[in-house]
Amino acid sequence: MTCRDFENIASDLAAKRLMEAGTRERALRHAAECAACAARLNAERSLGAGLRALAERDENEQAPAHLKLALRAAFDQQARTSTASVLTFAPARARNWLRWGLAAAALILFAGAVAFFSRGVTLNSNSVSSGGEVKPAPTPAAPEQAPPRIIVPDNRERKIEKYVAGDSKPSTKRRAPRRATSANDLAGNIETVTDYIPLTYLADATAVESGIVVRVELSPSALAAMGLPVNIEQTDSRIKADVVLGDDGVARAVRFVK
Amino acid sequence: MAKTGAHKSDEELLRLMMAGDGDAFEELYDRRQGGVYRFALRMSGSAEIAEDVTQDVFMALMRDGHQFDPARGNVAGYLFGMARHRTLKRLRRERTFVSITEDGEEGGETFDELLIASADPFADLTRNEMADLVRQAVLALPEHYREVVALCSLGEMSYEQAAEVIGCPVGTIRSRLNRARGMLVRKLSVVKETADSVAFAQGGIRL
Repeated sequence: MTCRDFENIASDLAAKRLMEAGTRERALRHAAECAACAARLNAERSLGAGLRALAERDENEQAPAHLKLALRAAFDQQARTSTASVLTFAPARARNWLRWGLAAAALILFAGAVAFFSRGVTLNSNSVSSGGEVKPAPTPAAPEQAPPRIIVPDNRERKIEKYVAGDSKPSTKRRAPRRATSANDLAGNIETVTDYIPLTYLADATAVESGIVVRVELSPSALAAMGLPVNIEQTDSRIKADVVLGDDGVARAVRFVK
Repeated sequence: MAKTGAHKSDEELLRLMMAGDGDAFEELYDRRQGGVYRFALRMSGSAEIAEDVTQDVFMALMRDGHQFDPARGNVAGYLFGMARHRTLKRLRRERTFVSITEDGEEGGETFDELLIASADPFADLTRNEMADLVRQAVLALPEHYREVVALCSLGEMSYEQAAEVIGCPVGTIRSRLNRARGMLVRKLSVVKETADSVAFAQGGIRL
């Protein structure tokens, strides 16, 4: 064995790594005859001992405990507020299918809501007599979905009924504008909205850490183009909706507004 | 999720974690944080950097865990790869340490001559002193030598695993490690001589 050959295996020899028995024997014999290689082997052994001492001393070195707590909190927060964990783990093609599925679900919800509103408007339209007098609106049948929630104090419910009935009249029969303090004008500032309808798989879809609520309006023609039922008597009206968007731009929930 | 006694592979834990299982994340963290932290500590010599790197690695795992490809290696290698990238980036930004020069650039003596001069650089040292000296010497290595020492000599990673983490052939790891060990011996000899001189001077003063 030459000194160059010895140099190539000196560290493995010092560390007692697995090697051929014959090679090991030849290397040790060479070290016994060559002072330089013997010194090299000794140095390798000392270095090995020093590295082991450092490794053993560092063995219990770990990240501080507070880091684990902080990371777990961050993980839980992400799991609550983001769809990323499940969506991103799926392959890209699967994610596309998931998006289309969500879009289809949103479309069905839109259809249900439009049908609900259309039915309400039709009933109110029928309540207008030929003389233009407003009759009390008949009580609508119980809706299949969550009924509209009125966000006003209880003592205003009557005004809202008037507003709903008055709003159903054809625009040509509207009376001249009145003072803003009139009952109808006050009532006209009040919106009737559905509950937020989640658009994701999350249990609490509206629990978004930060995001925005976007008010959108859809024309009947746009709804018709999407295959949704449209009340032809209300062709000049638009369906309002509030969409909750997370910071990632994904829609989390929607509610319909009247 | 209730914790079970069944041992889950890193890959299984990662899959569960990406599906929102917080306990799986904790288990994977408990299993791998120590190695990641120690690697960053040995590369930087700074507990602060090691903590930052560990945090970054696991935050990145939460965010980008889906990018893990089992065909390219295991989860541990994936984590060490991220830790290496972040540690080097941090070190290059801070430039805390000055590396020793490579063979032939420091002094005129050959490696063999140095070995003969100080065959045992740790003679008369306690185990703790020995560990301190080795740490200083490792931190003074150039980064590409330091990382193979941190992974293979201190982290007990195989050459193949280190090659996967660093992204180079196994032969490169072997030759870098061989060269790094030579540089360490030389460096330790210098440090030891300096320490002996200081001890002698202090002893003289005390007397």
